[in-house]
Amino acid sequence: MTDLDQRINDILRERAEGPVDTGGLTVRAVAVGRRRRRRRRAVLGSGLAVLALLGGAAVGPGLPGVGRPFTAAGPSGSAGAVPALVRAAPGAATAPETIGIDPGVLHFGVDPAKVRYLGWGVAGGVETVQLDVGDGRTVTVDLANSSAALREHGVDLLPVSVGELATEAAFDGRTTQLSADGRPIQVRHWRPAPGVYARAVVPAATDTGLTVAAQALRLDEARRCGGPVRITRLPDGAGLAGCRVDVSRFPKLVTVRFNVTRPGDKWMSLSYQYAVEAGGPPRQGNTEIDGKPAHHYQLGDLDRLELLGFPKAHLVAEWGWPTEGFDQMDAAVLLGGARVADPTRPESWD
Amino acid sequence: MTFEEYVGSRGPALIRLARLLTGDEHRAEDLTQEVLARAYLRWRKIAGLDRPDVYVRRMLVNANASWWRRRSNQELATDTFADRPLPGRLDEAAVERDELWRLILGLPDRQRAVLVLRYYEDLDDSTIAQILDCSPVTVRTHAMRALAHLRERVGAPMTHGSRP
Repeated sequence: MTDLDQRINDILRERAEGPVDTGGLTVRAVAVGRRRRRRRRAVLGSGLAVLALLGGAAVGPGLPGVGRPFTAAGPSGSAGAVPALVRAAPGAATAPETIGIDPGVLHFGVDPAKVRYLGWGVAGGVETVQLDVGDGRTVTVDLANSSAALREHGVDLLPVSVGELATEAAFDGRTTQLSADGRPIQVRHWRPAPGVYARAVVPAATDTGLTVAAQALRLDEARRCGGPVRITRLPDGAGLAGCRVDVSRFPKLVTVRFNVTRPGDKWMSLSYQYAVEAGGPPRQGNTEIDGKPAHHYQLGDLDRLELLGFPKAHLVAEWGWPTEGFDQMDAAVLLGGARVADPTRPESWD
Repeated sequence: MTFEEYVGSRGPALIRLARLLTGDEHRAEDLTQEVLARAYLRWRKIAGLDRPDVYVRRMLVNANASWWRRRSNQELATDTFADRPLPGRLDEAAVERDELWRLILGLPDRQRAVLVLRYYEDLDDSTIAQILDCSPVTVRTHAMRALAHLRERVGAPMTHGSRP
């Protein structure tokens, strides 16, 4: 073993150490897992209820293996959370060169009568939506204006890597079935419009969910990424590098995250987290942003600045080691320019 | 093996692996919790595999490799609003180790994962390849590139004793 080997060994052991609350980890993992299982069952249950109410066949032609719990009003009388329309921006079909360029805008949408948004985001030149297609499984759809962008962009939490499948020749509409320890995963690559590269992935035995998702795509519209949060100003020399919104448990939970960067791999984040069950007394600030109370604190080597005053929610800028390059003044600029709408009323997210 | 038994025996190791993959204790806990919650939903199948731990670690590595898993809090339990402390700042005597750690964190995801799985988890290339869903040759390529980068930056001599 060389000196470098030994030093790597030592630093990894040093950095990995620390107490672990194994009991708490188990409890939280089981609690979240059970919540998701209940939600899946609820989605399936509501789908079956609608089918029964409408006499099954009246819902629509559908596809083999997929129920159609979605009406125009959504599975439970609510349209769910939908990103706000951006009328001034083109859709992917007419301007494929704009896909993934502005992390604040998605250049496509989906038909909410066919699928339900679970989340969406833009990062690394790829625009992504996660969709519930009605069978409880999550279909992830990625759009880019090149096959290379999709090769570099993986799909979250899959036990296999699908990026390398995205060769130029692969975008012909075929579905590829992968297997991860005996579990099937369906991956489809296609070009829904000239210059537009699409990939859809679902962990399932059939590709029916991919077909539903593909048919639900709307490439003639653009939507704003930030959900209830709009960023109106950035620190000097900084740019928006990514945006991510999770509405999978809307209206109880809504999370938004923006990534802000400067040249040289320096970054900071702005996160918004709304939880209907969050409570507690109003927190005291120790500083101000544009006359509004804020709280600055350190979390290990990270700095956090929270703009106070959002019921059941936190709006926090985070910066610091290991990717330095931003400071409290930058965080105040970012937070001071953030506009937050009612997280439970998507119609107010314009 | 029940899910609770698995987390009881392997949970701490998963957290430690996540700390090295993310470089951030807070995110490491979120990441591990997210992966375990997903594993819980399909535990019957995972437990029936020959090496369930390889499968879960693959989930962990892939989850970390995703940009928005690293930089977003997709799972937001209300009790996660509580802040958790990170290790304190390094003192002056540890500047060199600090520099090496920063360099490791700056490596591309898969190169860093190979180093962590090889040096910290002490896994062979074949198992690492299973976790990363690539070939052992690719594992060795990632390792060589990572080590070359580190040698160049920390000024270590180009000795040839390192595992390629």
